[in-house]
Amino acid sequence: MSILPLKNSWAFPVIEAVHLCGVAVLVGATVFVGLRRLGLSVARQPANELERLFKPWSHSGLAILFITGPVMLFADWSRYRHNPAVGMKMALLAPALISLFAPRRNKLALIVSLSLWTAVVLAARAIADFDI
Amino acid sequence: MLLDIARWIQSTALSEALAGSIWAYPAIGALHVLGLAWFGGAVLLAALRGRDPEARPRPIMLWAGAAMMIVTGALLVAIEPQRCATSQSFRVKLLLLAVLVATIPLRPKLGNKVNAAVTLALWAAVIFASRGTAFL
Repeated sequence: MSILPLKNSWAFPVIEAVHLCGVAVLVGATVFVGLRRLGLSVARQPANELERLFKPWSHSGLAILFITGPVMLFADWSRYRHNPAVGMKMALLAPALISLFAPRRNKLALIVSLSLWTAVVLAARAIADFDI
Repeated sequence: MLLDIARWIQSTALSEALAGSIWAYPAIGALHVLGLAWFGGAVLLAALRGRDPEARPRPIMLWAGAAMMIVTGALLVAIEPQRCATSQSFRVKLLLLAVLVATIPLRPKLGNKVNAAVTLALWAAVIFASRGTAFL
């Protein structure tokens, strides 16, 4: 049963595209600042300055993801319920979200955080592959 | 013309090997999305700080992102060349990318705010057209 009848309408790819814009902004900014904090010369500015610049964008990205994500999930919940990639993504998403608030100067925490976000994106992409 | 190119791509050994593999599409598709996630920040910073060369991302980040997207994107086309050639959405995507590249020297002249708005709107449109390629 579909709670929101979107799965086969034009609205679904539109929401997917909005979700991807959110990914590019939130994960993009998180990875960029994380790499700078790890000492990589991805930009001249210090990590704190980059983080301040990205902040309104990251917050908007997060809001977009938290709206479009559940909308897609509930659009065909009875189907996604049996998709192993959905459970995997959510299991990875929880620690990834917590890592957004992790200690900023701990290198190990940064590497774990960037790996978690990478894994979240891969698991999310796999949802389509396991969608039978 | 696009269909002729598609037929030629489809006849290559690379395209046949990729199309015959069940792993190629999910793996390359995953790397293509990962490129968006890893290099989206560099694109965002470049758009926000278009006029200030000191505040822009290191060019290596933009080149690495472009390389990852172009290589994985080309391989995705090689898997389904006919579908891409017949997709209106894919044409729009290529056109938008061409506009983004062609206007690199012009957009900074628009001023920081307009440049950022135009650049990010174009990139968002590329993402919309990409998603549309699977449908239209």
